[in-house]
Amino acid sequence: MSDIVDRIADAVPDILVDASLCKKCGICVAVCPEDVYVERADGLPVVAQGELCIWCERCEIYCPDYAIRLVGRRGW
Amino acid sequence: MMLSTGALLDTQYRRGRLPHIWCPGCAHGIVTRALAQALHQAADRDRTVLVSGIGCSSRATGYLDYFTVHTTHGRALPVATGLKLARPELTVVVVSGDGDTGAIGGNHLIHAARRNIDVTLLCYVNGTYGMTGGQAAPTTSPGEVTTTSPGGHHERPLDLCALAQVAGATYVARATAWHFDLLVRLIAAALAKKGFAFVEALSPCPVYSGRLNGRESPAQMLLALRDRLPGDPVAPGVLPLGELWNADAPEYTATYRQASGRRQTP
Repeated sequence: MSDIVDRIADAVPDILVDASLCKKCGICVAVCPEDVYVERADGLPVVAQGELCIWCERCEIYCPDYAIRLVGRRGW
Repeated sequence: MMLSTGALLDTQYRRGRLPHIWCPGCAHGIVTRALAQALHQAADRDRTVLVSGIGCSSRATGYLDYFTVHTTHGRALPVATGLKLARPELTVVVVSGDGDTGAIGGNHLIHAARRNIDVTLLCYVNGTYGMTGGQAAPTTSPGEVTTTSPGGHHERPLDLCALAQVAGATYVARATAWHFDLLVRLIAAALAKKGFAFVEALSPCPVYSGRLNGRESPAQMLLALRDRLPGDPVAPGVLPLGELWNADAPEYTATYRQASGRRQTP
């Protein structure tokens, strides 16, 4: 069973930041427990270490501008 | 089920209206997301009307893909009352701010609660009048610097939940933008409640109350809400979180119909 789950599930999501919605408030960078994001010089969050993502969805939920999407198939 | 951002924008929002007008880091976006999530869980879109007054928070109706009415300052509850009375089968939700609900529309809050009309009121509380430049609101904490109290606010704040409860509301709850799941649950419970339901959502304003008081970062202001748990014993001056009051009382549109039926029967 776990083999099947492993095969159909993604280990980490694709993290998409929509620059047309982002207002560069820095909330995603601050609430991420795993240092996935770094803030670019202009304030835009950039996914630096996407493989560290634990899929907690904090950045997605707390983004006040709906700019972040975690896309992928979860194993749970 | 919790909607992903993609599903949320596709099904609950007027996508073409985004990005919204709220300032960078304004927690109103998070509270609106909680409202959209709760509506998705507990309301029928074709039978739901969102009514709002004036203020930052009241812009939310413009972004949500529901039947919406944007009314004058403080008068969202009277419009909602009329709507509910004429069409009792509708789910009527009022989206309002602390200035709209507590100051300009304070009297309407008292009487909507007193009548116990089946309307859900979601009040975004940021303790300031953000849209007009950061003036002090009835919910501003003592000592806060605002543009109208540069030496620190010296009035006592109004506890809107306590006011709604003593006025007769049958459901009263409070959460914050940080307590997202709790906020969704409370709004969904308020929508299901037959009677006047009041939900207060603390939503920090990083631009006016934040900058003027040296709290520079929106993330800091959001994280500052993290340590407060629902049901915790609270210090004086700190507002409790969670479901604060849940009672039963005759609902206004039902009793109104009964009374008018008695009058018309010969």
